[in-house]
Amino acid sequence: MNLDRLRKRVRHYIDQQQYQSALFWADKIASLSHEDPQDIYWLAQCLYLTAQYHRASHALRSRKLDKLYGACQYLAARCHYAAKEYQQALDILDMEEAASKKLLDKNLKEENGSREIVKDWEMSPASINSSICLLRGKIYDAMDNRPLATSSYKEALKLDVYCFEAFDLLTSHHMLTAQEEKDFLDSLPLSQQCTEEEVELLHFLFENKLKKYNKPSEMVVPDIVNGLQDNLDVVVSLAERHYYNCDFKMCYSLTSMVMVKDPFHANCLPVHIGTLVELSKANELFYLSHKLVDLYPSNPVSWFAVGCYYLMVGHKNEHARRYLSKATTLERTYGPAWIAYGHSFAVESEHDQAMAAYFTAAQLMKGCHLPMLYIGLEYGLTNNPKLAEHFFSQALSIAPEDPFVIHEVAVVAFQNGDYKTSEKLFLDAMEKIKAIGNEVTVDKWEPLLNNLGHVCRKLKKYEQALEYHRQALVLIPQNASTYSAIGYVHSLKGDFESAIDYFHTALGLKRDDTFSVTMLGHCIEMYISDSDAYIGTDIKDKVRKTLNTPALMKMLNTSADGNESRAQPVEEVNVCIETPSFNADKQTDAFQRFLLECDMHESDMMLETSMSDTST
Amino acid sequence: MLRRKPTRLELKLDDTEEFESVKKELESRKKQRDEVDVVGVATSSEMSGAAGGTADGKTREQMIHERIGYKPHPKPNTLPSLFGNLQF
Repeated sequence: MNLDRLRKRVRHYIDQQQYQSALFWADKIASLSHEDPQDIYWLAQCLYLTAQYHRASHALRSRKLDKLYGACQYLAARCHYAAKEYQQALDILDMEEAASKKLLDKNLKEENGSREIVKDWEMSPASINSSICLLRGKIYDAMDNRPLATSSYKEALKLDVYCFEAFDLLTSHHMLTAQEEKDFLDSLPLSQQCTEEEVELLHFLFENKLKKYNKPSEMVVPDIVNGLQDNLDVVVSLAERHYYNCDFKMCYSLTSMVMVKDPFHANCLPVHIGTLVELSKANELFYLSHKLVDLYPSNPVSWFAVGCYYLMVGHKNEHARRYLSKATTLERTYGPAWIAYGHSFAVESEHDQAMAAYFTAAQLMKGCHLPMLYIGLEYGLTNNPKLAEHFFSQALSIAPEDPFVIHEVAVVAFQNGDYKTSEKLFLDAMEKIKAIGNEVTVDKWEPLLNNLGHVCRKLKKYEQALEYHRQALVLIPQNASTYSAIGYVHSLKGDFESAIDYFHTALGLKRDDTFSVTMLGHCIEMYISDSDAYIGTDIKDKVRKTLNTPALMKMLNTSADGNESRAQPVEEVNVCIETPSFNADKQTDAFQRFLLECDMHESDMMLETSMSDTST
Repeated sequence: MLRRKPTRLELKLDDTEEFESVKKELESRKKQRDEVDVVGVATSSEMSGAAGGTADGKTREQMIHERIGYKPHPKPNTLPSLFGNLQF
C-alpha cells in the first residue's frame, strides 16, 4: 500500500495543530509500514506534541532508534527534558559518540540507503548537531551548570549561525560579559554559512541584542537593513538603549508605540515596565500588571510587573517581595526579578538580605555587572569600604565604561578622604554622561552634581562648589540639603549673611535638619560679632554731629551729674523746644513753660514705653 | 533591569570641623584688627576719648533700638494732640 499520501496528511494535521488527528494516522502508518524508522520518528513527534513524553521516548528507545539516528536521539532527549528528567536527557545526548560511530559503520555498508534516509528526513547533520548542542545547553542550564550551558550554546551557534535561540539564551541570561559577547559575535563563521548580504543582516541584528547598559552609546542602522527600522524588535532595542542612557521619556514614547502595535510584546515588556517605574506612572503600571496576570499568569514577567508596581508606590515592599519571589519561582534565572528583589530590601536598609538577593543575581548572571555594583553599594553602606572597593573593581572589570560604577568608586574615594581621586572620577563619569547627548534627561544624575560640589568644597574650590550645587538645584529644586550645602560653602567663605539666608531656606523645607540648625547658630554668632564695628562707627558719627549743637552742649554741662537715662529725655526735650519756639514767636514765656512741662510729661511716658519694649 | 539611584553625599555634623578651622582664622584676624583699633583710640585727645565713652553708651542703646525697630519720634504725635487740647 502506498502510504505517501497519508504521510503528507499527517504533516498537514501537524501544521494545523490537529495533533490528535496526526497521532491517530501516524500510529496507523507506523503499523502499516511495519515500523519503518521514519514513521516511528513521526509517531514519536505526534506523541511529543500531545505531551505524552514518556510514550514518545519509549517508542524511539525501545527500537534503539536514538542510537542510530541523530534526529531520534535529539527527540528522545527532548522528551525527557520536557518531563524534567534532566540527567536522563543528558545521558541520551552523551551517547552521541557511539551513535556517530554506528552511523558511520552503517553508511559504509549501505551508503545509498543512508543518504536516502537523510534526504527524506529533510535535516542536515549540522542542523541536528546544533539542535543537540542547544538542548544540551538548556539541560545544563536547568541543572544550574552555567559554564557548560554557556559552552553548549556557543557550540550550537557556531554549528548554525541562524540559531537565534542559542544567541538569545546567551544574551538574555547575561552569561557573557559585554566584551565576551562582542568577541563571540566576531568569531562566528558568518561568511561560511551566509551570503554577503546576510552577513551584514545577521551582524546588525545580533549586535542589537548585545548589552547596552554597560556603556552609553548611540545606534546606527545600516542602509542594507533599511526596511527593518520599523521592525518592532529593532525599535525595542533602540528603546532599551534610551532606557540605559537614562532618557526615559524617549524610551517611553518608543515602548508605548510598540505596545500599541503588538500588545504584550515579549521583549518590550521588561523595558516598558522599567520605564513606567522610572517615570512614576503608577496607574498605567497597575493596569498593565493586571492585564498581564490575567492573560499570562505563568509568565514571570507578569509577576515582575506587579512587584515593580509595589516597589514604585513605596511602603509596600513586603507585597513587592511576595510577587517578585513568585516571578523567580516561575523562572529561577529571571535576573531582573532578583535585582528588584534586592532593591526591595535595600530601600529598607536591610543590607544583609539585600546582599543575599544580589549575590543570587550575580550567580545567575555571570556576565552582568549590576549585582556586583549593588553588592558594593551595600558594603559601602555598612561601613566596609574595602569590600565595597573589591566589588566595584569586579563591576568595573566587567563594565569599565559604565558611569554608574565610576560614580560609586568616586563616592568611596570621597569617604576615604582621597578628594583628588574622587574629583577626577566624578568628572570622568560626568564626561561619559555628556557624551550621550544634550537631550538626555539627567534628573537621575543630580546626585553627581551635588557630590561634585562637596568634593570641590573639600578641595577649597568654593566658587566651583557653588556652581555645581546651583546646577543640582536647577535639576531638583526645593531640595533642603542642597540649600544647606550652598549655605555651608558661603559660611566657609566668610559670607555669613548669605549663609544665614540659605540655612533659613533649608530649615524652611526641612525643619529637623540638625546640620542646618547647628550651622545657623554658628553663623549668627559670627555675623553679630562681625557687625559690631560697623554699627559702632555709625553711632560715633551721629554722636559727633549732635555734640556740635550749642543747646545740647549747654544742657549737658548743666546736667553733668545726670545718668544715661536722663540724657535721653534731655535730648528729646531739646528737639521739642526748638520747634514750638519757631511756631510761637510771639507767645509769652509762661506759655513756653507750659509747653515745656507737657513735653517733659510725654517724654517720660515714651521712655517707659521704650524700656518696656526693650525688656520684651 | 531597575537601577538604583546614584549615592548622594550629605552633610553631617562632623563636617562642621571644616568650619571650625575657618572660624578660628576669622577670629584671629578680627583680634588683630581690634588691636589696631585700640591703638587708634589711645592716640585720641582726652575730649575725644570722653566723647567715645559717651558714644559707647549711646551705641549700646541705639543698637537695642535698631534691633527691635524702635524709633523715638514724639513730635509728630505730640503736636497734633497738643493743638487738640488747645482748641478744647
